[in-house]
Amino acid sequence: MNPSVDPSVIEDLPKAAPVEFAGQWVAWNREQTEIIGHGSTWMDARQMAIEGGSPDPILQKVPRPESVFIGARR
Amino acid sequence: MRFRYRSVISMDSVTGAQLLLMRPEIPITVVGSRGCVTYSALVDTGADNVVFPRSIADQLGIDLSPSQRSEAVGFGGGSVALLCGTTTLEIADATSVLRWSSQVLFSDCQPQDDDVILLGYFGFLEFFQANFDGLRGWLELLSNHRLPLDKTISSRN
Repeated sequence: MNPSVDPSVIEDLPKAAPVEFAGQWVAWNREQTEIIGHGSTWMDARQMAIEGGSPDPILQKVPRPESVFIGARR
Repeated sequence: MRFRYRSVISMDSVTGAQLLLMRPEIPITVVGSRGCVTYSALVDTGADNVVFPRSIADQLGIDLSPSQRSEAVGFGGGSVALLCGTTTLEIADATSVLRWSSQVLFSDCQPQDDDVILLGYFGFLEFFQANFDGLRGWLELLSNHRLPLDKTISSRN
């Protein structure tokens, strides 16, 4: 993978969700270091986190790599 | 308040190779009558409003009403139906917490695969001086006098 920015900066950021989760919702732990739930809806991802003992995750919709976000829906 | 950008995996438009991008996504907590949940939201200076998926209002017990701005239109002309609701929002960094109430919009995307969470001008950016450090991946937010604080500006130290 070719970072588009300084690798030392990237290393210090919250990790990117792996591509296997593209299009899904993921639940991160509060430190944003670990994915503790995932699913097709944010409710599913949150429920998995709660069942794993983390009641207060941070939920992210993971973008699809082939999609460019420019404010458009379609 | 300072927040790290989030890294996301994207694709080079020319070569198709995977690459990492940085986005100014920050955690924001939405508080409703049935609980509160934290989401990673894109701070978007090009968006007029704060927009959440409708499912958040439905699950957290946020009352919705028809919006005077009944649809959102993005690049390319596609439109999304919008509803309006008043909710409490909270952001926090390592040292402080800000909580305020604001009228925000909820999108009724079908399919829900198009769900996005945007922190635009009304309800969010209007209340802050924002410094986007795209080189180092930091977003700095300094609240202004218009921020309608609900509860606290509290130090965590």
